[in-house]
Amino acid sequence: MEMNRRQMLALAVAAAALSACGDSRQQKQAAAPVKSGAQVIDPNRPSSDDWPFEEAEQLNNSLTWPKTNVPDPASKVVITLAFTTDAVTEVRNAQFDFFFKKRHPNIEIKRESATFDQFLTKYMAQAAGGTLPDVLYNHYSWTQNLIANKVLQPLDDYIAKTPEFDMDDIPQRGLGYFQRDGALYGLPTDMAPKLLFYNKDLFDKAGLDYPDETWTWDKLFETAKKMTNGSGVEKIYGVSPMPKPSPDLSSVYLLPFGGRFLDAAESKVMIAEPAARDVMARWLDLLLKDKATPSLAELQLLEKVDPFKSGHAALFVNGAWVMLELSKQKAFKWGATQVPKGPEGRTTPAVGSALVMAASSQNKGAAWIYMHEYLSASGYKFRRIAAPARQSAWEDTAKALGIPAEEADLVKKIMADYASDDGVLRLPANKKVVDTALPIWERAQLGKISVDDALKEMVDKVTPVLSENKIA
Amino acid sequence: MTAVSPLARREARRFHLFVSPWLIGFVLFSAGPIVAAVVLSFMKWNLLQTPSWIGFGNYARMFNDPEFWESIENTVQYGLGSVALGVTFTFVLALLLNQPLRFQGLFRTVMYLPSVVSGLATALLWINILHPDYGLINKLLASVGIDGPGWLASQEWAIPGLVLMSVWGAGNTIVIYLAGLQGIPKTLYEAAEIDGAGWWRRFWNVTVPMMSPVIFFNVVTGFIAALQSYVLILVMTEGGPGNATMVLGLYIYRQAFVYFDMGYAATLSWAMFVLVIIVTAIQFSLARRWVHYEFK
Repeated sequence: MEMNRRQMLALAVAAAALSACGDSRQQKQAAAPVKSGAQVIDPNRPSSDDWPFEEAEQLNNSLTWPKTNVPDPASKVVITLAFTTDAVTEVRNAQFDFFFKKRHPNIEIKRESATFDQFLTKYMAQAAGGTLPDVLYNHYSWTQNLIANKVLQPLDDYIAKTPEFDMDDIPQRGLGYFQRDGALYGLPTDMAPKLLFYNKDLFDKAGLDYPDETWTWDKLFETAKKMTNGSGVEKIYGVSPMPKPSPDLSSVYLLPFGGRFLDAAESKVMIAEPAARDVMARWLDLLLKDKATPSLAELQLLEKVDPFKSGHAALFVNGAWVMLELSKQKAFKWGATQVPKGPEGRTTPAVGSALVMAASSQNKGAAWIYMHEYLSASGYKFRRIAAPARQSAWEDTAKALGIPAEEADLVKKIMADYASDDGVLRLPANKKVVDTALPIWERAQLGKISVDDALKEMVDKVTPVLSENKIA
Repeated sequence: MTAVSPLARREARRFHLFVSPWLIGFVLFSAGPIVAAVVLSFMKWNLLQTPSWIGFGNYARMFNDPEFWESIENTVQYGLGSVALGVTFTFVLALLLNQPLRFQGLFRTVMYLPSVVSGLATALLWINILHPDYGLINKLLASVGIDGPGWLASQEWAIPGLVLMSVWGAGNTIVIYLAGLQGIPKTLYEAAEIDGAGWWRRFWNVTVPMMSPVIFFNVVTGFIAALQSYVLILVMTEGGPGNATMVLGLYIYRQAFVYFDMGYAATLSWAMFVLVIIVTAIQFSLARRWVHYEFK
């Protein structure tokens, strides 16, 4: 049969219309594997070499899943979750969702993932369009802006309806990022302090005692100089990384000396005042005169991987979450202790990210049921992340991940004793503050300007930025 | 009045039907955002709150913003460097690829290949090529006794490093040059040879004038592209060290998608537009002195 052009066009339009109106149930029943980045996760049996399905199923069945007074939806609802995770963790999350759906057959889950660099941009655009997912990941420094703009749902009512949700098990001093006017808008997924890590092999070779809780920052500076030796690819740095303007600059490095980057209200720049100035000057000397910490060029040589991780630094100040990575390496023996003390005492930040619920969510009950189980003790035991915010999950998690028990105990002790959100930048302009101050500090690190000129310039340039730091 | 025939009307209808996808796309995705950018440049908008009218506030802020002027300086440096090097280098390459050699097709393909490599791969490759320690360039310099600079880790050498990288994907420019070179009438070279012109004379008095419109085209489009560059720079240096590579495109990106200061970003976008217009206008005014058109 021959068709003319008009008939061909009519047939093409009809075919397109029919395909668009087609029954989608068949597609849902035979769900194709979800492609996520380079990996394909089978929705009917999510697994990988790191997370075998059988192990996940066994673990899931061994756990007691907590209850809430928030009722399950009476009919099918779909909740959308937005996370930023790596490919390995994504499989574990898919397994969590798989078993969650078995417990809650009326809650369908649609999971989205974006890289950390793209996450905020993507979801700010969605917030502007009023189409945010029901539950989403939130970095601690983003949350206040979203709260102030009424994008997030307070969680207190849901927590009140869930007696089993043990809030005392979560570090209270690290919740400031997620609270406003007495309400709580986010629940931490992970939370950990910064610690002082050390390379036992290098200390043994140098015949020096390992760092311990008696150490002061003076002792760290003195030891860092002693431990520095060699050159080129053989060089050993005393300590890394060099402090720089960052959200937690105050809490790790300046508060022990009574200094601050910004004041507590984030309305005044204090980094040029004597207490902070002296600390920054000492670090700059350690870099420029003693060469005991890697320069910008040397960091580029190392491709931004900290020299401690490759056995090229004796001391390392970083978050407890790096213990997972360190535990997997066999190149050298390491230990961790509390960050050193200063004249004003010892301080370390409690930092972590949270899950938040969108105020625009149409399925808040279902969203809470998910958040509650994901962040319960059983949820943490199932997910096995490196730095659980729920303190009761540390032992099991550390054991499963190969983190030494004494290090897990140390972290718990620090979280209980003094880790806090004091001094950690969180207001809306914090990114701009850091981006404004950092290039100035880089010029000081390159030896282009003196520490005093750098700090004065930081005050001059950051102060106007702080006018944008007010929350209406 | 001439009556329009049914055939002409039908053709007009079909013309409009066929151009409509482009027109709809242009209105929605180009003209719409352009108009929105004009309006936004007079507003303060952080995506989450209702935009508020602030008149010329963003423009006043821009003129008093030292980072804006720093980014303009970096952009102009990068634009001048990448166009000067790119236009010269690709012209020389095109001259070589125009020679009747064995495997000419292979050489041309190889020279074009970098143009099809994705941007991120190019950035990662050049981070390694420019590596101060094991990078290819510093290895080559070391082999002749020169201690190479820190390139992307150095405030002075970061822009020159990016300029070197910018020549990498110049395959399209080479193709345009080759087309131009093959369009030069052989009779001109024969006439010059009869007049006793050597290789250099033939090049300088025949090739260059005949190619000047093509060179001019590549200079204009090269500048426009260079002034808008930011993606590779974002991946390679994030504007550092010490803002040394903070070009205007990157500064606009940062204001819009890191700080969500959409009004100010729109204002900066208009500044980029004005910069492109000024640079292009200067080139057109200078073109009268050196561009030779055979037929006017």
